[in-house]
Amino acid sequence: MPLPQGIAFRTTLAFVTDVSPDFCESANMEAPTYPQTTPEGNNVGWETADGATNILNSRDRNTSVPRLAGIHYGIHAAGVQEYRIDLPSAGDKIIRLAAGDYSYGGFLTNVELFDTTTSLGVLASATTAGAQRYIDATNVERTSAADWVANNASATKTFASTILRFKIGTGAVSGGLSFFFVDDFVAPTPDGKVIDYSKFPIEKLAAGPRSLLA
Amino acid sequence: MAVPVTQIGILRVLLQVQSNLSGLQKNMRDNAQTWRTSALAQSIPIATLAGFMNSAAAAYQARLGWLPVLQANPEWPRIRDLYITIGGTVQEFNDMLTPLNAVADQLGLAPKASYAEIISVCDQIIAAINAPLTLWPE
Repeated sequence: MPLPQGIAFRTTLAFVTDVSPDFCESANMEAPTYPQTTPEGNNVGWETADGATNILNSRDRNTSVPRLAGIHYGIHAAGVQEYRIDLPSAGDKIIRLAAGDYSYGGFLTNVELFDTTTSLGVLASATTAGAQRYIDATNVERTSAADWVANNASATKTFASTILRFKIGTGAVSGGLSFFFVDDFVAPTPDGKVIDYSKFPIEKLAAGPRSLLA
Repeated sequence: MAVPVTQIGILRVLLQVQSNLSGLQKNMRDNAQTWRTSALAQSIPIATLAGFMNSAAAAYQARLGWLPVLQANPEWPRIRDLYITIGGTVQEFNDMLTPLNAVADQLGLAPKASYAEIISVCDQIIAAINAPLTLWPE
């Protein structure tokens, strides 16, 4: 029941209004924020404490798309910050993300996904070419906020455990993101059709069709 | 060669206890306000909202269950003593756990078959759980 879960990264909770299933990660970055229990009932949060290199910063940018309203990003190239979402169950999960900055280009992404400590691959490593551009979970750059909302593609990953982690930064290059989303993968329908969720903008899924499929 | 459990490690766990309990207090209150807003606006179906609340109740129970496990750990006396060093008492852990446990129990059992019932349980949580002290606006 607790999935889907979205995490919107920004500085100020009140900057925009989040709509379920989105949770605003707005907490002060001077300490780990895990565990926080979201209104959807999931335990989430940054696990990394600030240190000499692991310094996380945040910004509020624009209110037009709440999921893309802000960013969290590492300050130092050598810093690697780790975020955790406790999943209600293991299995196949759909991942979406937006990594980009409404105000500036050249945003470093470098988001790697983990099943507890086992890497499931780098989801985003591209650098944005301009402001209001966002890298999605397939490392494709979407050329506007509207393009990301309408066309962002998902990645499907299999979790053997119930701990989803992602890290931003490689240890040599910093990283950051605006939004992260996880949902259960829905098996093919009884008539054998496979629903390609990458074709659906998540706002539409949350609004209607998904409830018919769940 | 194993790294010994020094006071650095003990402090780490004590800070995790602090983060968990004060964070739980904040999450319980914030989530109740979020659910109440959703129920008032009827923006989320009742069953979905009730499911969120039941899941949160389970998450709260899980977080509340960590401290008793820690208290059974052989290192607990060192953690307790460090807390006493900064002026705390063992009783304070129980003083914090009692209202938090009550809300976690209440939330799981409360009827949530209508928006009115959901608003009612949210109001009870908001009345029972005050916001934790904070240096900056939250």
